Amino acid sequence: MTDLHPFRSPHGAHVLLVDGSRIYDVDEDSYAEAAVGKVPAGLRDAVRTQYVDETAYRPGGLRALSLNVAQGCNMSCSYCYADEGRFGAHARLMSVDMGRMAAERFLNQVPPGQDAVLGYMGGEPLLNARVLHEVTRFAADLAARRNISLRFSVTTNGTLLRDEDITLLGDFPFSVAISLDGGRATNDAQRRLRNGQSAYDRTVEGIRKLTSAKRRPRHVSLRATVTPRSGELPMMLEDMFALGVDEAGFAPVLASPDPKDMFDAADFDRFLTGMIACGERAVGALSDRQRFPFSNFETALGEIHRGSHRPYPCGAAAGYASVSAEGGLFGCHRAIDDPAFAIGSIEDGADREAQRDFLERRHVLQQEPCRTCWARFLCGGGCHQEVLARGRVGCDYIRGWLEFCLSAYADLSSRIPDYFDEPETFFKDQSVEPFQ
Amino acid sequence: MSENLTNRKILPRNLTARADKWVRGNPVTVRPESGVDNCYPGLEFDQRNLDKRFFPGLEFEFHGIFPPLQISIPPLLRSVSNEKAGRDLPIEQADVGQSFDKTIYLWAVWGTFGTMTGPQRRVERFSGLDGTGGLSAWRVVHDLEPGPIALLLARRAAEGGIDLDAASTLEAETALQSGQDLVRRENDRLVFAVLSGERAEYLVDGVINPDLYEVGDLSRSLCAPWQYDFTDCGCFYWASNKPDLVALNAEGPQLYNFQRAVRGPGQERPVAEVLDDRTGLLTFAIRDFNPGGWSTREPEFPGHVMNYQALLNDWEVLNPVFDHAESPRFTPEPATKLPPADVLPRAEVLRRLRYLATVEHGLMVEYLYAHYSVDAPRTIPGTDLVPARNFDIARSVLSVAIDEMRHFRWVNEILRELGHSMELGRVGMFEDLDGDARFISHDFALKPLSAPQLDWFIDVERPSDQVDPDKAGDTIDGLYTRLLLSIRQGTDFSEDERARLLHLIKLIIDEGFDHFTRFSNVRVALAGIPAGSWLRAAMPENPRPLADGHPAKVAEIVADRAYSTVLSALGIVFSMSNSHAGDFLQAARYAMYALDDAAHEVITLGGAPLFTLPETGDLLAGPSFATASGTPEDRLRTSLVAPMETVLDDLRSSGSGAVADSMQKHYARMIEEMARLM
Repeated sequence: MTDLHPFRSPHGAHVLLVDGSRIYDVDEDSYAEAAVGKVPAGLRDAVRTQYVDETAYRPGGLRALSLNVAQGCNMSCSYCYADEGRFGAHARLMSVDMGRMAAERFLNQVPPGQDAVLGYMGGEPLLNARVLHEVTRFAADLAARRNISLRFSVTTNGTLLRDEDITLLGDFPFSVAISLDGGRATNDAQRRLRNGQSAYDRTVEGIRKLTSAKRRPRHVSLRATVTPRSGELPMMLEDMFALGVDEAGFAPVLASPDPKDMFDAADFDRFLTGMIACGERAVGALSDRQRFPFSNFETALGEIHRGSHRPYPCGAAAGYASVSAEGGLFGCHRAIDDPAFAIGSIEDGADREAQRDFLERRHVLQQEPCRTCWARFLCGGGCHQEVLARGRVGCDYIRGWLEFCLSAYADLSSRIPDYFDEPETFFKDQSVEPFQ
Repeated sequence: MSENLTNRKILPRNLTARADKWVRGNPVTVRPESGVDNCYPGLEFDQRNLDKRFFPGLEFEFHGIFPPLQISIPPLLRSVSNEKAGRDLPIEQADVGQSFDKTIYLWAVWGTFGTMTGPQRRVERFSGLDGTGGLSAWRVVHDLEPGPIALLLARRAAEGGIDLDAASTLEAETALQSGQDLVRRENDRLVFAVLSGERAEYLVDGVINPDLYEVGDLSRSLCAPWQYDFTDCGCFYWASNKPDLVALNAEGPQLYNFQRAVRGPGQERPVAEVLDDRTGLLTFAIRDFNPGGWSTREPEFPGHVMNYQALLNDWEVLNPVFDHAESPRFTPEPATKLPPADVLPRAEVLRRLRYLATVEHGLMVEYLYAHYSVDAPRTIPGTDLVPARNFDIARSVLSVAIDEMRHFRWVNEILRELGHSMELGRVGMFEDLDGDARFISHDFALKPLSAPQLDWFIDVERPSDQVDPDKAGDTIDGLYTRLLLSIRQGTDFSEDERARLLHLIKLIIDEGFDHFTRFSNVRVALAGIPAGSWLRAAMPENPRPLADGHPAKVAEIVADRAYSTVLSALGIVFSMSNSHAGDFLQAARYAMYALDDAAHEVITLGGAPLFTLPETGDLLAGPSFATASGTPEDRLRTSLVAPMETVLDDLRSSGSGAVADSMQKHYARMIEEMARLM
């Protein structure tokens, strides 16, 4: 097993202790030792501390639930994992009753005083706006009575936003994620309405309405899906920032119904180059105390700073589950109707055995070649759905990106430690209004 | 590469690395001023509560109102009391409304501040947005020295700063240093107030004035620092993607249950049965917990996570963590006791110790043989996966073998403490000591590190509390535990003997757990991998001596003799009764290194080390050491190295000169070290 990973930054030589994601600044001799797999003397005690073992996480209650309120979409993106939201079956909508029952049972198992998240996914959730509205009001009311701090999230293509939807998203604590693949050209090449028309203007209009609303949703972000056909990432990012959102980031397509949209090795090299180019811009901006909300990078810095180390990539089937239109319960919204992810139903409740089984199977120390990879506790083994659909094809990219982020973290944390220690006073522009 | 470790630099950088660093002395988090918000282990009070009544009659709030936002705010005025001020203040509680438009903040303080260069009289200003809110505002107030002070109170403008026009600002600023009170109202609404007075004497000679604080006042904002506050995230795969769901509360509690050092059945207890009803939190959860079978009352329910409000109000009812699990109460387990009939008499303790010495010896050799069976390079390999993994595995097994040598010494030390001769023998067949058929049935054997052999290593090192006595035999750990309890409970041992013996036996038991863990880790690393990818193909089980003339024959003989020398060296070490016993053992390791050289040479040439147990007479170099004359160095050379010289010459003649030289160097080093200690 690889216990340590040496890396360099402009600040000097460093070692990542894989278990516990602990990062040390080291001298050149220690670096040279680490480079040949030897544990430097000063780290011999530290390397014995075990943070993660092969024990599977034992599921308790759910803390986040997403409802696939509309398993269908008004768009036909070429790469969609959800097959236009239908997940391989016919398009269907969740009923109000099912939505309420799911929300009620979800909230009933969250102990009072705790945080919970209810998300809306699809398909395009706004195709079923009625359920979105009714379930949100119902759930917010129930959460208030049960003293649960409930927040909402919705992932939408932004083309169907009506004024009353925007009011709802501002009235309740919503985080809105909008899918937009960069500027008009890139976006239109892969994201079209079902009639083949451009969706760009309609999405941008939706974003504009959201960000200029009297009561703006508390968080608006853009998520660009990147295919081998996408344009240059830095340019896409700038196009997205120009829309006045809180953050924007990328996700590569690893599994798609259309093979030409999936990344192969060469595509990953190009994607990594683009990601690093964006990351370097972020480093430059942060060095100048300017905001550059490239979310892949900001999140990575935060996780690395904290020393995040998990044997899973996400909370799927552990604290998170997703509900299909008919009330089936699945470990992940990307794997609706996939038996490998089935963990019960709203009617009968979560199937603890299935959850446990899933978590035992998906533990990163059960995965190859993850068990011996230095990035195993940062990556957690890769998105379950992508891995099960296509295997681990992006490992070199993930390691490359993490290597960049580690190096950038070491550099930034030595030059601008207050970005991590006192983020509230870090940026030159302090125009965030705290008393909204 | 520099051998001088003082030139080495290893500095922790990120939070887990910093948290993992052990520094002598109290951590910074126990300084009173570190007691902010929550989760600062070791604190007894939050010092911001100490300073909140720094102005007689007024009470301020230094804690952020919206902690998740991490924003800066000036201190908020909470209450006004003429009674506590001992005079009529020019503002009253009615000015401190609960509604937003009435909320009043502290914007400036005039007074004497302690600085590095001495006291300084000046005005300190707080702004809502320039970063001096929250903790830093408190720090300013905390630096105020006793004496005259003045405050500027006003409302907050919608855009964040002080809600005061230029003329009023000038007026207020002038009043600040005048020593007079000044209050401006507009339509009955407070515009600003400047109050003058003496800083409250809340510390008298460094002791908190008990008249000024009520029970719970100072610890109000602390959570129990022992609480694991985890909660789970939803879709949060960040390593390559922007996570799909964005509504996760990054500032909120995180569920990393797998970060717990210890888990498993019994660690997370059925909270419903034990939680205090006062919070109503978990009892409620349990009562309403089974609508439609969503969740069942199961022991693994991960306890509850408190939110900020609950932390403030109910921090003292949070469960502390005992033995790595949250629990509302701690019932010390009664010390394990043997039934009187099971307490072993002194003679039986001695007999078993002698037997256990032979077991430690046997295990050491079995581990060594397993170590040699791993197809690992002798030096640290590059980044190739298989050699690197095999190297790690071989090293782990070897480290346990070396530990067993230490156990071997400790048992012998106990025997010597009790006035008995040493035991250098090796177990053949495991004995049923109690004659109850509850024992590990095993015959000493040299076997490669196959999966079943690794399972055996794990079983034999398994802690006895993990073993069901009805289903499995007593473990080595169990045998030592029985001795430990017999010595503790029995009357056959003096107090002095008891103190010394119990210490050593505990050490052996503790290390056994470590061995169990190390072997278990090896099993994890090898799970699912075919044995062929880590085992040397040619290593047999229980190897038989090679025929004369085999290319490895000479090396085989040398390895056997080197094993004998290891035992001889141990014999000398065990006979030494001085405070350097540990150092002696270190020196004896060089004999082990020489054996290691020889063993690898046998393997390289196509054989396997035999570990032939020497005849008892040969086994003890002690007599020849005791009777030899000359300096300690001479005596050691006579008894340890001289018997090796002929075979090392043979080894040189057979073409393995480099190995012979290396072995000779190890022996020379051993003798030098041992002689130095004598």
